[in-house]
Amino acid sequence: MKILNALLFALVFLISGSCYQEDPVDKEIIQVELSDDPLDQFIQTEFLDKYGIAVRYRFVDRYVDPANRVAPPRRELVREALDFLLEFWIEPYLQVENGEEFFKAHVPGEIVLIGSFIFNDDGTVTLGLAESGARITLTEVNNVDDTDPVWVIRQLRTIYHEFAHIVHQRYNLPANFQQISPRGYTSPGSWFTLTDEEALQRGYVSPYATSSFNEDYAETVAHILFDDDFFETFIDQADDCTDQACIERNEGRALIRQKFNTVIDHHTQNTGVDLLEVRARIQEKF
Amino acid sequence: MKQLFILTVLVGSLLACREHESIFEKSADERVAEAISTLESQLTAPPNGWVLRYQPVQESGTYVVLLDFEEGDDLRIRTDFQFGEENFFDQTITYRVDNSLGLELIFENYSFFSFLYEQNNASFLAEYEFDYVNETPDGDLVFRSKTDPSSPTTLVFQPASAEDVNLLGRELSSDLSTFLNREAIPTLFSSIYRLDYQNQDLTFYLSFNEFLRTVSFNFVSPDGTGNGREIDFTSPYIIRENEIILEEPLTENYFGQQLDISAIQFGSISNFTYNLCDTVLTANRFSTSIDSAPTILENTLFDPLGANVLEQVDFYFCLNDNIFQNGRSIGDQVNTDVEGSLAMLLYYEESVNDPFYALGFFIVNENGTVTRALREFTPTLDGNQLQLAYDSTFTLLQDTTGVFNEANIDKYLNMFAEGEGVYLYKVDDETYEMYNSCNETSFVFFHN
Repeated sequence: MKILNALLFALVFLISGSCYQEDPVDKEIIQVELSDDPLDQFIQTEFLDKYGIAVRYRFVDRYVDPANRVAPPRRELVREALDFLLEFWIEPYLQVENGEEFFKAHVPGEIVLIGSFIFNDDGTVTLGLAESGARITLTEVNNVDDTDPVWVIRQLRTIYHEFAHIVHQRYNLPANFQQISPRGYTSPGSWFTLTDEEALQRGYVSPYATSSFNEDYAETVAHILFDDDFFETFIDQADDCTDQACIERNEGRALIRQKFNTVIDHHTQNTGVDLLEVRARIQEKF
Repeated sequence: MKQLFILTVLVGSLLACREHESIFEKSADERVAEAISTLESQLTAPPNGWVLRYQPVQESGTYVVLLDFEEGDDLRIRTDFQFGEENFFDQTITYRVDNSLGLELIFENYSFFSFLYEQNNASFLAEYEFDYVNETPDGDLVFRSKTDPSSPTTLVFQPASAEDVNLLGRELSSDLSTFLNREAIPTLFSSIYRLDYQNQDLTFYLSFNEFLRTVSFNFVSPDGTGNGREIDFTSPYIIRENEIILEEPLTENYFGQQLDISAIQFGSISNFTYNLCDTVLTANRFSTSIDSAPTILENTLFDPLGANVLEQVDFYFCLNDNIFQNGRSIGDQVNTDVEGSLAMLLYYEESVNDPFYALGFFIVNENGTVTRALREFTPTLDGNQLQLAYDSTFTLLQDTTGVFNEANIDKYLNMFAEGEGVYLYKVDDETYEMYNSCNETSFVFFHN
């Protein structure tokens, strides 16, 4: 009896399934007409053709979390922002050993440009985003000014930070990274209560680095690359400490030094690119 | 029983096995493309584009916007909106008609609309993404904000005539912006202007919000002094050619004179000079008229509400971060100079028998105790102008053993009193700006 039931069920499914019409597979491929806009053509040749990066500068809301609020970029400033990325982000990698291969293999498929900061519901702002190695969102394009050190540093910090996320998303964090300063991380949503000094004493390059292991890694990489005072601020021990704060800064530096060494080794082993070489090329540009 | 059920399903399945008939003649993709194309055609159809009277939020005024959609993706936006040095008189951006839950119109680049949208950390509730609603029998296109979290703004695009460009009051907007930004005293936060009736004994004290396009009538006086009465009236306005039209008229009898102020007409803008801090400064003056009565609108440092500030309470505090020089907070510098200080304190106790006037700092000492390091002063209050003559010694309250740098405290006390002292302005019932025009420093005090 059970066999009969099973056969009847099978028959029902077969009949139901056979009701569907065959879907044709010979659909015509949709041809998209290429834009004759000079900006679009620049993006096509300098980003899409060379590196496979699609640059989204026209506002599309699905690129932004519905809970966030942003303003789109000023069209007339997009080219300037892209030139900045070419010079400060892409060129330094192309100039170092294995850099071009690394860059092309890891670069995200999309860069989304936002004119303003990303405004969050809790009153904070987001400077940039990296999503699953596929997309980097850059903010503050409407303030583009490569003669303004504040803007330049913030942008470089964002782009290197987000690019670093792609590396650890691909290769995981360095093996011992999470054991270096495990007690210094902050509880969710409280990193911004720390000062730079407090973060340093805990063994982090910034308060934001205390928010998670991944952010710690990305912040460390970003600071290695953009911060011309990186070694003085975060690595070199002060010899003549006379107060407790100085001693605690040195303790923090010892932890950051461990992170620095493991990050450099991990990056070289996995990607073939020496971050210090990249740093040197970047610092030459200032 | 079970076999009977299965057989029923089997027979049902066989009966259901017939060709699916679409209720539409075209595929979903084709219908979406057609709908997008239709809306694009509607948008580009009017030869003079569209005129939009845009009120992004209820408390704001209305902005006249001319929209000219080109075939392709260019959109020309013309407004009479100027804010500070930035104007949005004529812009060309790209637009997109798209499909999500319905048809939507997206302004893809930064524009007048996104400028409004990003105000107040993008919480102002303007918009640059719109859901299409319908076309009215008059040929207007109706859109609704896609991003307002509730009560979405409705926008009505009306076909524009060739003359509608005259609706834009760019010259007035530009002159008004110059006037409101007060070249002579740009770092005074408080907005206070004087409107004098030329043929009547009547003076109003107004404030404007240039961005929101609102005007507030705060005080009316029969003789242009502190005599008169407080008014609490604010109305959004729209600029039309050379006038601002109030959304809500001010209808009231003041000192026996019945007024119905529904618009202010603006004439020429001119300069006048005055002395401040031993310097001759230039300020702006508008010749205006209200209901055909000639009036003058001009910059002033006098605020009749500010004149009464010190009568209301006797203790005020100003957090270090709320000390501004040239429009920027100098809180960090104060923190460094006056170690342990949290706020500036102002005592203004007018007791007949035991008056106490003092200015100084609230300081947390290293041992956790608090010292209030004050200099008593003799005040001279003239209208809303307060001048101070300090005592030669400090008065200490609470922990009188606290150690502090007197010279560094004096630096800020002198900044307060320097030259002609401070002008007092009422921001709201708890907030007061005290502005030293000689060194362009603002102290924003609260009362306790």
